[in-house]
Amino acid sequence: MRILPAVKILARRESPYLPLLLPTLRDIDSARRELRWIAEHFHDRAADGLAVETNSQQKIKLKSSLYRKIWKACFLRGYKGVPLQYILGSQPFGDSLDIICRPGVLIPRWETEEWGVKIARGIRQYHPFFNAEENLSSQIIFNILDLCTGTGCIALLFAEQLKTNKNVLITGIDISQKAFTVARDNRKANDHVLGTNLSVLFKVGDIFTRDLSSMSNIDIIVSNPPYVSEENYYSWTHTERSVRNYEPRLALIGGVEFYKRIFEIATTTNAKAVVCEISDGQQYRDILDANCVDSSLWCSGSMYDEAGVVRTIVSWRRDAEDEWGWLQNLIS
Amino acid sequence: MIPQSLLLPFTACVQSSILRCNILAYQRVQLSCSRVARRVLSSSSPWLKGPPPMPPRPSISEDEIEEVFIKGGGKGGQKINKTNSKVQLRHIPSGLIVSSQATRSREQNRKIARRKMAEELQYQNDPESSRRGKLIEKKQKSKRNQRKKSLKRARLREAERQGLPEQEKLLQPPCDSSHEIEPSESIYDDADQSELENDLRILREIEEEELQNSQSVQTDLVEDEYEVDYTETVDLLSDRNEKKKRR
Repeated sequence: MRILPAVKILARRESPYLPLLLPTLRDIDSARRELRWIAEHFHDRAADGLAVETNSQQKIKLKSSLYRKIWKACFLRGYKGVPLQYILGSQPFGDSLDIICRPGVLIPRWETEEWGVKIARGIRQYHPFFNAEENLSSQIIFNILDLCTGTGCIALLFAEQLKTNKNVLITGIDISQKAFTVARDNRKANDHVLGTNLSVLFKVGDIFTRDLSSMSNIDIIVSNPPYVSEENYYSWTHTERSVRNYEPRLALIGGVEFYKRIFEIATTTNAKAVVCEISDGQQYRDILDANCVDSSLWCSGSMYDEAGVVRTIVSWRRDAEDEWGWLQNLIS
Repeated sequence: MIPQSLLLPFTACVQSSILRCNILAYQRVQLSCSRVARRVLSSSSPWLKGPPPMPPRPSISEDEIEEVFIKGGGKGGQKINKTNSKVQLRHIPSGLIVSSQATRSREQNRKIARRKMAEELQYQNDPESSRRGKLIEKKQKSKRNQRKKSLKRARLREAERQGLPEQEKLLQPPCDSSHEIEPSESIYDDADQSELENDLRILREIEEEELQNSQSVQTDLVEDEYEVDYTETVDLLSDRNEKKKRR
């Protein structure tokens, strides 16, 4: 659907930057919203410079560079289709996190935030480690393993939600060195979620080859592995153009082999629960058909997201029913 | 007995139409005025006390609302990168639906939507005395004052154009208002934009509250703000005082 000339004229009357955003955003409301975010972002960044006492000429110089930055940001967003999170460098996540986003690392999605918050809050509310008065078992640390962590958003989200006086260790692993740098920067930028008894560690490694037997007491494995099939990745009706052109393929193209490997890791590390993001209901059936999950040992189900699509596979060990049985309420 | 020299500025200000709008400033100015002036300003005349306090911010219980989401179906997840995060709330007893997509953060949008829902319900129950009703009244009042100001400015401009002496300027008949008044409405005056402005107002209120909660111990900061805002009015007053002294 082409953009009607009347819309372009209306946009131009309102602001010279709005028509730049129209090709990607297609309507004036979203264009207005994103322009406001872009302008706020650059104005905040420039505000430190503007607050300095300068002569009037230099002030004018700063002002015009601010407008140039906004123009460039709108051009990249509207005409080139660069994701807004790469232009502004951040994405709000969870209750108080601000995740740094850089080209080469996948941008956190709202679906990930949604299921992450659901699971983390469930753990906080129902898991005996956080609720029992004394530790009935000998367990003193709650271990979370986050595979294919990328920006580290899931690890930091769990850290934010599980901040208590109990000991928690969250480990994030990713194959990419770029992601490792971004995850460490995110931990630094969001260090209010860390605590004296809560640590977040990041490691570089390929989950197919790295030996993870040193971690032997994992409570839960969470993951958002690459799951877009190659066919869907190149299909215009499935994957958005900006995702295909600017986000890393390494983090996107994948399939059932990732889930098979994750469940193998779950067996080696003695994990009690596994929660992973999946593509849709069809992929859930494919996972079960490929015998990734041993149904004699594991209970499993799928969880819907707020758009009504199957988004997560949730499974827990049958012999850990007292710790993880509450997950039954989340699946359908 | 209040000295005459101190009363003069206030009577002059009451007559002048410009300062009538800034009558609220007097409450703030008293923080930086002398002790005697402060006693005068704190007298019980109604226009010195400022506007009546706004009704309290409404709140809403979690049981009555549920989050509604538009069932998209189809793609999502890693394939799509959405920047807008719209949150829709539905009030179960009345069926009122309120949505917000003002910020990039879903958590902030949730807070804004809840506050908006509470305001909307309060407004529906009691249009006159609710918080939003008062805000609307305030806005209409300021708009009326703006209109009067611009009419007066237009009259003065007409008189200057005709080259009349100062006393007769104010006696000019009101001119044709259609082409002299500056337009106060925006060219793109539609429901979405005013809703966005509403959302932004609520966001600012939330941020203010959070700031106040975190800085509740430090009260000096609040006084500094007042002084910075109304230095203009203070200067005006001091100018007038000087002029009176010179006469």
